[in-house]
Amino acid sequence: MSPLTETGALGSSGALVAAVLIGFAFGWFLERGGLGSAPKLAGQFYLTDLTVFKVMFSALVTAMLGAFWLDRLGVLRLDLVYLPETFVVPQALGGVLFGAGFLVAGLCPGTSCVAAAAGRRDGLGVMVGMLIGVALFNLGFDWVASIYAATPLGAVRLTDLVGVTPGVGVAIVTMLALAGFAVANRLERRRA
Amino acid sequence: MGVGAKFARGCTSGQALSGGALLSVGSWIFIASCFAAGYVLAPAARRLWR
Repeated sequence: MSPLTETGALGSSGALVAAVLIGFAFGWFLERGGLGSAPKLAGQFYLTDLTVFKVMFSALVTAMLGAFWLDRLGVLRLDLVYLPETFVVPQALGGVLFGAGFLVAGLCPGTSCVAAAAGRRDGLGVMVGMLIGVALFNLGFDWVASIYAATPLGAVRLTDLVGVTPGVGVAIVTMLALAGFAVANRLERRRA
Repeated sequence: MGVGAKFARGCTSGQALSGGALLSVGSWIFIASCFAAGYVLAPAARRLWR
């Protein structure tokens, strides 16, 4: 029965080993997918290279369908899987800051580590800058604490908000992603 | 980007992919505002990438 970390099946050291193996695979496939290259990632925002969109949403849909069906088949207890809590204002604000940084850096936190590990100096620069940003946030936390904790909605899913069953929500997101892939391919062909 | 990830309680991996796959409302707010900011600011940052 999974999640293995919540049921204790892995133990704490087993969970650490699993984390290392998953991290290794994550970095490997990001690099092999070309996602350690800042110009390639920045192409997402100029609609010349939509790899970011395609990788992100194929990963998201795979995880979503896997979680949904493994729960239905009794393999995974989805109610034990941590659902991030929603804070509307800080997450919208964080998204804007993050998107601006993503555009300028051409890398996100994970891919900056991949780029740095592949020997790209811009990746190392982004990694250091990101850590400085996190440190500054923590040092100045008293100033931003009220924004950070603003507009909490708790752990809530889109399907609860819209009022449809999880199955309907999963089907809608899957179809939207498939339509998005078709549009992305057409855009790339036109710009090529 | 570090500050943004702190405010949002996660980055592309932790919020967008993991939370998005669980259909967390906050994760989708993060995805939407991240891409919106990227596309709105893209023309201003064009010099960096050409």
